[in-house]
Amino acid sequence: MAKTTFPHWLWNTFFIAVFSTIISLFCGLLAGYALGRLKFPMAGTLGTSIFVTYLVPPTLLFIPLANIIRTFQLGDTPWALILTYPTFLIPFCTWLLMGYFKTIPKELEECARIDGATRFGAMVRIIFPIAVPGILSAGIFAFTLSWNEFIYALVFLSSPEKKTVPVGVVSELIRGDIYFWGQLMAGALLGSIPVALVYSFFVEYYVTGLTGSVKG
Amino acid sequence: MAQVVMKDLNKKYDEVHAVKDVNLHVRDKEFIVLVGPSGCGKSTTLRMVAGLEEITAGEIAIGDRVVNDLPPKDRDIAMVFQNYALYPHMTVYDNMAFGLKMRKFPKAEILKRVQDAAEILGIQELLKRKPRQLSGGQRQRVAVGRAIVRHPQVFLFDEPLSNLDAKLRVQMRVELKRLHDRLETTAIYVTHDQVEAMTLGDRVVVMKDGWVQQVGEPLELYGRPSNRFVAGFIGSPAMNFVDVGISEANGAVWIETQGLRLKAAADRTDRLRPYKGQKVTLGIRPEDIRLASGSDTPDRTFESVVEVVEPLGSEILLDMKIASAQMVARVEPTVRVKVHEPIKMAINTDRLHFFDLKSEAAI
Repeated sequence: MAKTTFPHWLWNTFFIAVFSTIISLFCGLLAGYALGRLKFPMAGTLGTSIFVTYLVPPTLLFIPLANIIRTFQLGDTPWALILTYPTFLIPFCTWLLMGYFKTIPKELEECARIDGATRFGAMVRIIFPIAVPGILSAGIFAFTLSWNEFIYALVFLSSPEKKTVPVGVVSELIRGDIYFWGQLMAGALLGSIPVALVYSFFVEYYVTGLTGSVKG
Repeated sequence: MAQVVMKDLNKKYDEVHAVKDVNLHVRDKEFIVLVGPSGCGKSTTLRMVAGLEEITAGEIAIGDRVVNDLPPKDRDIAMVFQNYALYPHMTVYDNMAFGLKMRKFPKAEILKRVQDAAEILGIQELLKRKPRQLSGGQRQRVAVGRAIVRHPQVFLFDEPLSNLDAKLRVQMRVELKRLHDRLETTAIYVTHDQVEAMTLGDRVVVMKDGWVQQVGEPLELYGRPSNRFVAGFIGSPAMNFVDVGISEANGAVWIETQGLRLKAAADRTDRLRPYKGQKVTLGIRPEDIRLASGSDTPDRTFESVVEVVEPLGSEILLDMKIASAQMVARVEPTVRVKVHEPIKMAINTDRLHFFDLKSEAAI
């Protein structure tokens, strides 16, 4: 293992997944809160259109995105992925969190605002702590999605040591029609361990996050 | 301690006009109850006072300050919600201390105030628990505690007892009243339950379709309802209504319909005379109908058939049919009547209510 670039891949994947997850969660939290809670014109339409962007397949988007990446000279750097993954992660997080925020009784927030908090204060002190299960499941999902992402990673990265696990395993461990089966299998297994760990660690939060159970 | 003044208050949503020209002066230290069927605008009115709904038109003043544009946190109010709205991730202590922490009170002061409130409400043992470990009644107490620690100028209650079971509701009702006597803070209380309104309120405001129907002390509303809606809404079982004709004969005013011919009490004749030859709605409280005795003259009795007997222990309700209408009488628990047999009943004619057929206003 030490002889290959696999540790690099693992680190790259981790680095990219963590950063893009953080960015997406942050944006998703604020957008999800606004769409779920604030009353403003076109809120419903905006929510739906954000969802629709999630449905646009990456296989369609990678060509224009490649153009943008080249313009900003980000090709073959981790930032190419950290900045493009949110294009599908933010809609996903927003949508999931919006649903979760809607399950939290609005009286909690109103009460906090009467108790002396501003709307922002009520959001940070009351709503976010209650939404932790939802935030965690959105985070885990986002992390998994970016961990497994293939097409952007394949297109935007080319140096072997900069690749992520899913791309590295496929592109470096298959030479023409020769499959290095042992290494391939080992790489796939090692690559999936972190995700499995994350899931098992947060499984309880994750379940409540999906079923949504906030009681007053 | 403060008065609350609402002036020409209006609330319009896109298509619904929820609150219409509400004018109300809640006096200092008064416990005022807004009551009405769901959708009558009572909660919206309360939420406008709280600052949770924007005011479409009109003015609200708390104390001497007009608060129309103040955010909820600056209005110096505390609110208790129907679903308690306890912060689930905080302990009872933190729940009660939250408002004080947000206002940057010193720690010792917070501790003292929370303990005082906990003692008043009998929840000292619960301070370290989380809301989900409490029963409904305990949660309600915590919610009330969270309101009183702040010593606000005005308490707002939005149907705080509706989620409790019947027995606990009666108990908490008494406690709330006792608490108000002790704290002497202005309170506005919203409920759809007229019993709660009558028992708690110094004054009661009856609302319907966004309009204030009547404001008055509980017994005033009961005894002198200003229109048919208030008459029917306050009191359980509800007032009996029958459409009757008015006529004059032998110097007296007569109230007539099929199966019913009553002589109007002397103090009502002047007001009823203009309706001679027309129809009005007659309102009779169930307790003003009783079994006829030998001394009852025919001008205050009528024949009826009892259809259902509802013994409640302290009283018996008789569902009766007379020729033109259905009526409920509330009689002594010792009365024994047979179902489906004709029976002679008498009416306290000096306690009848009359309403204009069209405007429904009291005559």
